[in-house]
Amino acid sequence: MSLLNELLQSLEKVDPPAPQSAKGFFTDATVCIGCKACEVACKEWNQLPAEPLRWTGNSYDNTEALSSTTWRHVLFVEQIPESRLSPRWLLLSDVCKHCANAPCLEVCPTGAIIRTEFDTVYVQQDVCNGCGYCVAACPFGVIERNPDDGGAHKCTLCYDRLKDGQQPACAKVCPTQSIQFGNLDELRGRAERRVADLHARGETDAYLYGHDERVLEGGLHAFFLLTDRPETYNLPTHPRRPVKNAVPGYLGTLAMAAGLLLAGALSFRR
Amino acid sequence: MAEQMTGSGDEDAETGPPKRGYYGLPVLKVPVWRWEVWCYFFLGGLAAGSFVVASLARLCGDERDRVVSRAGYLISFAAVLGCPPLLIKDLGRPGRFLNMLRVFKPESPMSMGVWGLLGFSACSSLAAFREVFAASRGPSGALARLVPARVVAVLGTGLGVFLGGYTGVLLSVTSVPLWSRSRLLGPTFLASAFSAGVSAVSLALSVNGKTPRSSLHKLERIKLAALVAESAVLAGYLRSTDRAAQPLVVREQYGRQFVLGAVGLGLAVPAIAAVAGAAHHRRSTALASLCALIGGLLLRYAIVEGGRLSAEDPETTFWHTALPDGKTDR
Amino acid sequence: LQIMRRHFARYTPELVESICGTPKEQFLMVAEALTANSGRERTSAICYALGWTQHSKGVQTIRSAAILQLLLGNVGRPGGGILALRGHASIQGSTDVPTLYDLLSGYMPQPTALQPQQTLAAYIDTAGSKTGYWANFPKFIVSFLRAWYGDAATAENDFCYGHVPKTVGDHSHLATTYEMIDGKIKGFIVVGQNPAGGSAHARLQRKALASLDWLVVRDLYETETAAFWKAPPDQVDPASIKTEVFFLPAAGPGEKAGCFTNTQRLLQWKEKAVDPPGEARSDAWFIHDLARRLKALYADSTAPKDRPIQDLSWDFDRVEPEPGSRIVDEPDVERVLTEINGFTWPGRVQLKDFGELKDDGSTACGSWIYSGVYPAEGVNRAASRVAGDYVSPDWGFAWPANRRILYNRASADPAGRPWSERKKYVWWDEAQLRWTGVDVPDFPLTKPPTDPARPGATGMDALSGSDPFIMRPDGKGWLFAPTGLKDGPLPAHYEPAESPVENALYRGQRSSPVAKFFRNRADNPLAAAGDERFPIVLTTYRLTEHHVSGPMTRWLPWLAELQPELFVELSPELAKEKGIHHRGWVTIASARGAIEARAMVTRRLRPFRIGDRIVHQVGLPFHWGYQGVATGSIANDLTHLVLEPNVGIYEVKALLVDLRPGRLSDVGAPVQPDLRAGQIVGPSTPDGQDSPDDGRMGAGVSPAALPHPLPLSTENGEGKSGPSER
Ligand SMILES: Nc1nc2c(c(=O)[nH]1)N[C@H]1C(S)=C(S)[C@@H](COP(=O)(O)OP(=O)(O)OC[C@H]3O[C@@H](n4cnc5c(=O)[nH]c(N)nc54)[C@H](O)[C@@H]3O)O[C@H]1N2
Ligand SMILES: Nc1nc2c(c(=O)[nH]1)N[C@H]1C(S)=C(S)[C@@H](COP(=O)(O)OP(=O)(O)OC[C@H]3O[C@@H](n4cnc5c(=O)[nH]c(N)nc54)[C@H](O)[C@@H]3O)O[C@H]1N2
Ligand code: SF4
Ligand code: SF4
Ligand code: SF4
Ligand code: SF4
Ligand code: SF4
Ligand SMILES: [Mo]
Repeated sequence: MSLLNELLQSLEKVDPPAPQSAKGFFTDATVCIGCKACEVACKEWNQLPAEPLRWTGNSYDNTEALSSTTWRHVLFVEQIPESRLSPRWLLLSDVCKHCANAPCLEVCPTGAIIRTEFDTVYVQQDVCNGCGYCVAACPFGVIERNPDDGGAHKCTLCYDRLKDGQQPACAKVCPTQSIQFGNLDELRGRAERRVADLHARGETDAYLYGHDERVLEGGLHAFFLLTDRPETYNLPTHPRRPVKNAVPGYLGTLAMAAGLLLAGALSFRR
Repeated sequence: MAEQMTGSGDEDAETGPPKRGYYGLPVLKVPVWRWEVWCYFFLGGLAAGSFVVASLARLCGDERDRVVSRAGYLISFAAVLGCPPLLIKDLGRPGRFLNMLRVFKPESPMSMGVWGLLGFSACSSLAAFREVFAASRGPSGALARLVPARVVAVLGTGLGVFLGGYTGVLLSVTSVPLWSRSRLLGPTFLASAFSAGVSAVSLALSVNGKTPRSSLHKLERIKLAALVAESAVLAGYLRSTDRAAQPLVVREQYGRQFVLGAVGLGLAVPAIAAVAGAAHHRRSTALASLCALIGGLLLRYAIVEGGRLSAEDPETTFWHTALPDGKTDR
Repeated sequence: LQIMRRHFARYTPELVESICGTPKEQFLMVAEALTANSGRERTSAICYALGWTQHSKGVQTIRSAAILQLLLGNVGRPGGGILALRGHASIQGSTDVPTLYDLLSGYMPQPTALQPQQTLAAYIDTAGSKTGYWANFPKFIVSFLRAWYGDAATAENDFCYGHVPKTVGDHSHLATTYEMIDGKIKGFIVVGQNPAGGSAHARLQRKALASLDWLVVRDLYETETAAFWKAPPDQVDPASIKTEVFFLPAAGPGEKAGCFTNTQRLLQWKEKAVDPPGEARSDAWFIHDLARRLKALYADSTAPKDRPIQDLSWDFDRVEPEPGSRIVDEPDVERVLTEINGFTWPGRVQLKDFGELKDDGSTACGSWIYSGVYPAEGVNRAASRVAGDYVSPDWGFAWPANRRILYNRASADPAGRPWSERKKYVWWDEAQLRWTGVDVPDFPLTKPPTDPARPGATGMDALSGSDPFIMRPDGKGWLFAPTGLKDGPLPAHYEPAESPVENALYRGQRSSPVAKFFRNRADNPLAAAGDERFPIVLTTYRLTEHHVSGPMTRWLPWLAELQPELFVELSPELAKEKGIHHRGWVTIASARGAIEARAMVTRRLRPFRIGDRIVHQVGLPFHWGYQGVATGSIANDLTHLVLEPNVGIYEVKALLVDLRPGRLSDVGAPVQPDLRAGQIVGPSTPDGQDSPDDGRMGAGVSPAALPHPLPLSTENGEGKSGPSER
């Protein structure tokens, strides 16, 4: 009896929390000092395990990329010409982009990935069955299936902290405000002013990546201020939206089906 | 643009640090799908193809083509039985397979695929059930005769077409360049499903000496049509996939399976056999059909596994995601 | 000023370029920026850390900066100053409530037997000053003795001054290392330090530990020091080590309340978050427990030598148990702070500031400079947290007297008017006839700017109203420092103790003539200039991801994953020359030892052109050891123990090494210099000071007699090393 109740209860629809203003990150690469405090704070707050110890020799970066257990990752790009004149050291703290049109969410067959009341992209661990579709769908190589628990994991945008009115752990510890958390509209305005400011100061390489609909047709809720082409930060310049392939794919299939069925039918008729 | 220069003092780096990108590390995560998935894709396609052929025979063929329906439905049922275990085995958390049925999500090909497979399995089971028991006496026979054969055939054909093609669409709704650059993977997989289905039926019937020659000829014609269609659409797929198709042709590991296996064995050999009139020799028919089946399996193997290579290569990803005019977006 | 001008005339931009390798243009750019930003309207601050300090002439460099700042008018003014960026959380505290052997408290020196300081009066005479603010020295020392010895201290017994231990030489940790090796010191208590990995010449450190009878280590982890006997690089049979090791678990920073003093002399109280786990206890608990046990042990003794312990006042028990804690015997650290702040005697009314101190024994005060931090029961100013928008006087407490900028009288011109409106800070208020401003004035409040110096007077009366540097006997900033420094009145250039080049300025005097070389020891060998065995300069430094010798970070997987292995940074040019591959292994050897590291080939490093030579430099982080989660070679196995003469810091920013591709095991069993061999080879002086010479190889040791730590190829010229002295 109680089992039935439980079952029924699980089917009962609970109203989702009331939507809040959209939240996101503006990560400004020009002020990042590569301290990796964000990486560590994220692991600490979310109690994520360390990656196996491995020295890469890639500048000071030994975690290499985002993974199911590394949800913030700091990139180190050294640009030092042989003359050693005007060297550049590009640093960027990468994170899940919380895409407005999130491919991972769109393809998830279980509904594990949802859009929260903060307009962020969140994986419900109790729902995810580890099908791996999101992994192949994410154009940024963010979400990953963890070999230990079989589930897909990525930045939650500190959903638990946001619910308590706190800012995300990574933004909180960032000593330079390279990671800025806040209301999306506000962040976008701030970012645009920052770019204008940098341009005025002669830093004309500065531009925003993902702040408007040019990326994935709706922009990214975690967007970036960069000073080199996106590829330098291992970001795709113009990622495509996977779902855009669905309808044409089905139509093509349909056409093929029509042809084959016709051929088949004719063959049997004769 | 200043070049990127860490730890590039030695010869390895002298041969050229990556021109763009980040220490040559992948942009994308490598897909987790392995043998379960390409086996499932193959079995699903086979089940769909053989069902559709059986239904065509049932709906359009004459009385002698009944053997075709019978074989097709039985093969379909056998193949479909293998699908759920593979699908479940492939999950990171197999115990939660049923969560797939929580939602009905048209934009997710996998969600649609699960529902499609569910519906198709029902049709396939009903059809097979009818084939096996319709002639028998007793309650099971009565029950089997209650199954509306034509309705099941039509419904199952629709679902089968979906099942045969959605797997290609599923792959193309990702960010993996090899899979998503072209939109032709759906029709390609469908054509391959069709040819595999016909081949399986033809194989089964050609080893059975009692099969009417006319049916074999019909099957051979359909097979040829499917092979031609598959060749055409595969060529289109490769063309539109462009340099992202490199793992399929250039790379040793998947290249051999794809070029020799999927194309040579799976398309060229049976097509030549069909044209050469292999239908007159049962053994050649059987052999050609077997080749087509193996080719169908290798096609899915090469494409699914090749996706891993494709995702690993940042240059391909950058090429795939460059702006049409090649400029950066600022 | 004229002497100084003559002295520095040789130091032209061209000379700087030829000695340091800093391009002239770059040097001039910095010089111009600094001068352009200094004046009435603008001030510049100079912040320094180890790049300046960890040299055998570190104090000279900092002195140069101080001279510059005085000349540029950047002292005592907002935005100016010369700031030591401290390393550990309370390094500043180590001079205030000292953990240093040569300081007693509040910059009062530890009495020493090497000077006539046998009586309190003699001590005051030699350590205090008649003029300037140090004229108050008797109040500080008497109140201090009252705090230590309580009722036992009386005017008749010199307030127990005789109980205070006198130094007889250099008792710093590093100098003490040698005494352990020589068997003069038998026991060692290590609280929160890891000398077996973190201190210079770590092999020597471990050897010293192995020479002890007993060792106590209080730490959060079983550090290399606690496990020195396991030391794989030394390949010593533990059975041959007699040292008994006691490892005591310590409470971490969040597990105890207390006070940090940072570089701006700011005291900040920190609350305890949680009880320490298991048997771990705070360091205060350990000292408290030890003191009580010692007092109990000697309570009935009649031996006069035990009087200091019997007379020691020790009054830090908690009155009530700490709420919410399972530990009942922790001392009350607020009572410690109360004593440091000071109170009346015997009434125990807390003092408001050090102005209330008396030299008659009616006040007690643990450290006069901290007086005012705890002015009344329940008023802990170190715990105050009011953020303002400028000076923020109510955020923590800055010594002395909550003054945020020292010598701030200098922010006004001689007439007492602000140098500039924009930078006004402390000034003479004509209407009220007193000093006022946004900070606590560092000057007698009512002494007018026009007040003349009174020759022959004592205390502040000896200084004029326009002399801001009140801690100096003459109230002036010293460009030329006739006393106080061991190396001379004006800074001069010297090469490091190990340098590939000679001193371009002083022929025949390569490195500091007064640095402590310990030349009489065979276990501190140095490479000579031109020693072809060690042609490469090595410097050591930190990584963001690890903390000093590593226990607090290498044990933590989240940090270990970020920097898992020791690596050495070298330029592509050097890598090519040596056949070293990026990411491959490198063996590094100095005259003291050899280690292995991964090669990080990067253009961050570049070869220097010094004179007509190309000198290669490599960089080595020093955080690794053989204990913990992330392990690796100990960088300090390469470094030497030559100490700066004034403060005794080691020179780990510049030494000489050689590199070979491959691991230690591949390069061939390295012949580690045998540090166990004959230790003392020359006469020793009490403080390790030895006769100045030209900085060549230590007396009594011929470099040829030292095995090269790496097998040498013949063209490197075995034995063809620098000149020997004998
Ligand atoms: N993450 C982290 N932070 C720390 C610590 C840690 O271990 N890890 N340690 C703390 C401690 S205890 C301290 S003392 C501080 C030390 O902090 P820093 O002083 O920054 O310490 P280092 O990294 O050892 O050395 C600093 C720089 O000195 C430069 N240098 C070397 N020789 C010279 C020279 O002759 N002239 C000049 N101008 N520069 C030179 C080197 O290039 C190096 O980059 O850091 C504290 N903060
Ligand atoms: N080659 C080279 N060597 C250097 C330097 C360099 O630049 N180059 N820098 C030098 C400098 S500036 C410094 S400061 C030294 C530092 O060297 P050490 O003084 O040896 O410092 P740590 O390695 O931090 O060791 C501190 C120990 O205290 C423990 N600990 C932390 N908190 C507590 C506590 O509350 N109580 C107790 N009992 N233990 C605690 C930690 O676990 C750790 O084991 O290294 C020096 N060594
Ligand atoms: S970045 Fe990837 S994981 Fe994050 S929301 Fe977008 S698609 Fe999903
Ligand atoms: S792995 Fe989990 S989160 Fe990702 S698509 Fe599958 S069910 Fe959704
Ligand atoms: S928002 Fe939270 S989960 Fe996401 S990277 Fe920052 S700390 Fe990690
Ligand atoms: S915490 Fe901030 S400054 Fe530090 S690495 Fe992360 S983004 Fe950069
Ligand atoms: S927050 Fe500041 S003081 Fe604290 S560890 Fe980081 S850099 Fe040092
Ligand atoms: Mo330090």
